Amino acid sequence: MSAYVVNPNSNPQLVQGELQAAIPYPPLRRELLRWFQQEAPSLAPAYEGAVMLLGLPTFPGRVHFIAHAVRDIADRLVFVLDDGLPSSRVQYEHHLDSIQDQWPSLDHLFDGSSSPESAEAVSIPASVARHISQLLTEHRGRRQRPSQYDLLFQWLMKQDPSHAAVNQRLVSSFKDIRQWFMALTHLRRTAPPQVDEEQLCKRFEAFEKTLHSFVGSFFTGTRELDAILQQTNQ
Amino acid sequence: MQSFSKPTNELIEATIPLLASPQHERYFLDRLDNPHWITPLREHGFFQHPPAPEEVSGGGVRCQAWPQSRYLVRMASHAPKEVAEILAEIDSDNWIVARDIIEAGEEMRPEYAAKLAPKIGELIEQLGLWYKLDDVGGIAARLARENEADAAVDLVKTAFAIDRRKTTTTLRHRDDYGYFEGLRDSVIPSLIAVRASELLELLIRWMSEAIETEEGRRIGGDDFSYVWRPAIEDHEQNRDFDFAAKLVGCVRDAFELAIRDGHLRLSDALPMLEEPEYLLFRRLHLHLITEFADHDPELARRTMLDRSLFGAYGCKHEHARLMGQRFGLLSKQQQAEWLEWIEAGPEKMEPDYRDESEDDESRQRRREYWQFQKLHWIRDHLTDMWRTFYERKFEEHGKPDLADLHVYSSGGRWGHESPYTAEQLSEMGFEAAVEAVARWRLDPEQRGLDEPTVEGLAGTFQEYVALDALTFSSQARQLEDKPAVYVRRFLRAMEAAVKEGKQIDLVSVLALCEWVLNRPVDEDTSPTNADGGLVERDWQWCRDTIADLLQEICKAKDDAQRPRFGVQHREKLWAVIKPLLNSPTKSYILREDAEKDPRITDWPQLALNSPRGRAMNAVVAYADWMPDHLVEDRKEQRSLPGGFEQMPEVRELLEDQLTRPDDHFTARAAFGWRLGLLFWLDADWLRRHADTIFDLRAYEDDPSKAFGWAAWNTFLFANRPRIEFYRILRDQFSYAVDQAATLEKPQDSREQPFAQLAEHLIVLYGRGDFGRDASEAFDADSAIVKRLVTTTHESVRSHAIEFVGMTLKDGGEDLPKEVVQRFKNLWERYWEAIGAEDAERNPGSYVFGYWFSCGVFDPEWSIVQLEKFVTAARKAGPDHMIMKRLASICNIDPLRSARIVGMLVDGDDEGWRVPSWKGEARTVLIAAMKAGGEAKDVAEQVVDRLGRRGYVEFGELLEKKSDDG
Repeated sequence: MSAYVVNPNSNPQLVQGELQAAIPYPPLRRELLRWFQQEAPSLAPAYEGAVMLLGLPTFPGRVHFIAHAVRDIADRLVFVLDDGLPSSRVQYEHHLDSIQDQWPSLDHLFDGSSSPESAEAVSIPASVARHISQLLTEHRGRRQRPSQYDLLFQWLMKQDPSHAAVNQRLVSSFKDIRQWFMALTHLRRTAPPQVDEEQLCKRFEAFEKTLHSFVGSFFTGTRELDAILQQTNQ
Repeated sequence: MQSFSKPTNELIEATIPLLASPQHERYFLDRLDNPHWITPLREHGFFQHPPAPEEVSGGGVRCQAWPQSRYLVRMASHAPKEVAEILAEIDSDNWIVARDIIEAGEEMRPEYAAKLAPKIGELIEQLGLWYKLDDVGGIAARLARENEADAAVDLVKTAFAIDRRKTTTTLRHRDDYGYFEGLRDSVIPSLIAVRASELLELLIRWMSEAIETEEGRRIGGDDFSYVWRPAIEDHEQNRDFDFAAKLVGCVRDAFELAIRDGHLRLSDALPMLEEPEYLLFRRLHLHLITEFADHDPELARRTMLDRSLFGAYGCKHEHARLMGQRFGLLSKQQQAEWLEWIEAGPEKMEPDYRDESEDDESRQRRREYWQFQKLHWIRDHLTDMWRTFYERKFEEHGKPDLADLHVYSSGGRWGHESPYTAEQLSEMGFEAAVEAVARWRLDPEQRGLDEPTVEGLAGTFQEYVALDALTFSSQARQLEDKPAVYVRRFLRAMEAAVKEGKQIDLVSVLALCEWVLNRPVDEDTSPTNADGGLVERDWQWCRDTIADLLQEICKAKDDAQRPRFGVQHREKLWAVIKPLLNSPTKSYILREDAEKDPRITDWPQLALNSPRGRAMNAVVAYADWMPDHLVEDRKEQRSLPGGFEQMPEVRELLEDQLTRPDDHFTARAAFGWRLGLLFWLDADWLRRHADTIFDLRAYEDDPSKAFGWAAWNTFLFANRPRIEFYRILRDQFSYAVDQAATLEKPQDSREQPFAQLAEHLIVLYGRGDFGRDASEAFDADSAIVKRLVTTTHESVRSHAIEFVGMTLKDGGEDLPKEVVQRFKNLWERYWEAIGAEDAERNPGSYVFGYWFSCGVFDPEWSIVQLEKFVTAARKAGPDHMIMKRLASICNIDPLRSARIVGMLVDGDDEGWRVPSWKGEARTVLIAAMKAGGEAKDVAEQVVDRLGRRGYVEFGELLEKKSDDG
């Protein structure tokens, strides 16, 4: 495939059309994209963009963009699917800003009878104590909550007639995929690490297949499995 | 040997993500037949998380099958090492997985099964999989035969152990079949050959533990085994109901097999049985000496001449058997010595249980019987004087009771014995027979389960009377002064004769009835106390029988459907009926809920089984009988001319009943029972008294005096809906509907009064009795139908609606359009008002299911309503009937039909609904796919969901579509 050159004058629609023509869209991918568009429309462009860039090996910074897309989809998908799910993020910075505004200087904390080194206890303003307590409560809650990946597969398993528990093998494998892409999201001072193209495609496909297994057509998946079974059962 | 291709890393990496969803994982693993996948799947963690048991709503625990373990079972013979390693590491309470592990153990070669054996033993013990022990026994046997005896013994030790910590109940309730199949058929034959002593020691330990597990089974060393296992050998008196009793047979077989096949000498086996403290082992010891006396004849002789054993209570059977089988081993002198013990008689004479006098004659008789019992042991060896003695006693007593046992159980009999047969009574003639019956008393010498009883005799007497009811009825007065039990049986025979259309001498029979009614009710005429409570002590049952007899007399018709008994009996009949009303009101049926809430009590049943209720039914039967003598053809008469003026005695009695101070529910019920008759006899009288008879509001003042509910509930139960009744009882219907809103318990069974109230009103509504126009009828008469289906208890209104469909499903095809329209209006108004909420609360509701499946309503309307209904109630029923109808009309609305199928599929959480209508679902989905557009999209989604539930055959529909496309 020839290198892609960005042409600032080109029609975006046309570019998209050309790209789509260049990238293989097997049934699995088509179904997954349709699902994103229907159930998680805010993430659909990121997925579609990643798919397109996958087909453009020379596109500058593509690995970085693809990795961002995969990480963000993995992290945010469950919150998009489940409106009612509270974010698991703790606003550490916001809390610390509030505490900082009210935090007295050390001199004010000690009356002349003790020094910071010898004191066993100090008094702090009640409002500061409340802020700290709130921060710790949220932090504890975050630690106790299932991860967003557990929550994602819980959501995906909701339709499973067997009501089986979430398979930890699956969560762990999904985290591995996400972690692999996560490592590629940061821009560095030096040149970005070389990424094996085959690995990139395999990891991306694994990401797609994992989601498709839940949300795509069941029989699309079984057709692929039938082909494998036919090959391996011989 | 079969060879398999090794999957490449690329193939494995490409496959694993495809197996993310449990459905795809199951699909792949159910079909995978290549052992080379075991390792990569293991590395990817596929065998680490078997599904845990889950609690199900309503109690209980459910386990899911695990495709991984099924795959490993299939691979166990190809890759036993890997499979054994993986399965040995699995830690799960899932008994389906545990079963797979056992099955894999059966499939793999013994050297690998040995590695799995500890895990199998652990699973059996932890999960109580007793029913799998026959398979585990098979594994142990294979291990023992193929040089893995250590593993076999370890497996048996764990899997077959009896945990003393388990309760008696646990021991009794577990599945004995698998345990004993495994032990007897597999473990014992195989392990005896290689580890005889070890296995026998185990069996002895388990036997002791089984004895100890049963509470109250032992006092010191006496384990009462002569009661729960009368004989060590197989014996018709062994009743092996419990675990310990069955285990005795296994222990015995194991010892016998070990000695017989030369794996253990008798001299080594016997000491093993001397150590445990329980009596059972002494008995086993004796049993082995008997069985293997040819191995050590001297030991057998010594044992037979052991005086301490001669009178040993618990070992009686085994000692008797030893004597019987091995007496011939004794020398003449030794035999004579033993017979001297017989001659000497018992050391101590037990007191006679029959309280016989203790005179010399009695003592001698008992001594001889004791000798007879002992001689019975060696009956085949007797000669000379002892043979003569034995034969004489045998002729006198037959086989001696309990000669070698302490307990004896017969097959058991039902019913009572009679000292006479009906034929014997016939030969006596009636008068003598009556005297013989009345005089008969149980011989105190013949007390026992098999002996005749008064009830048995009374039953035979009834049979005898039935042989010639007409003749004997004319001699009815012979029964006067005889015990109530025989008089009752005589009257029962008369009742049966009348019922069968036979003639009786009514005058004589009524005279006997009058005599009975003149006796004090509580007079004790019972001929014996020996039958405990089985024989009536007073005349009440006899009076009840008179009430039943009078009903039959009044109902009896000739071939021309005219009364068989003429009006000349009027006075006599009434003279007998009237005193019956003084009977008690209490029902013979005891119901805890009776009278707590009279509104929901089953009064018809209680009244039918109460003396007063039966007497009232006799009154009503009389009131039904009289008009046939007053009018030529009552069918021609809209009502009885003159009404109760023609039967003032009935009117007076009915009015008396309504005002008597000891009125009761059971008496009042009779008014409701034959309301149609009362209406025909005198409608004006009924109108005047309806509010008294059916005084439902009395419930507000004192529920215990609200007798009107008995008449009301009985009316609803026994009468078809008629607008004439409704007009008289309009207030009662309205009040009852209001009461139906205050119920605390559901009333949804057709036998329950408020459900019957709903049915009455729905029939009247459907017929148009509340108005022909649908809307008008729904709101008519203070909106009684509207209130019924919107404000009453959920169970009542749901029953009202469901009743329509249930009724129409059997022959509603020719229903007039206006009736159909009324019902459609009923459904729409109900659904709009509260039906949707009801359905959401009850996902398994049947309320609309019968409507839809009955085929009475037009398909378009039906499908639209069904979609609404199933949207609210995803488990709607009866689903198989719904689907049958839907498959037949789906072409009318393929889109909705496909949606309905999808919802019913989603509602099948339990997984047993879809299989019952897969064919119909297929029909609907094909129709929807052919229709194209949205219907096709929906159908494809449903097919997908069906596939995910394991119904992969539906995938053909998509392929068909691809082929067609």
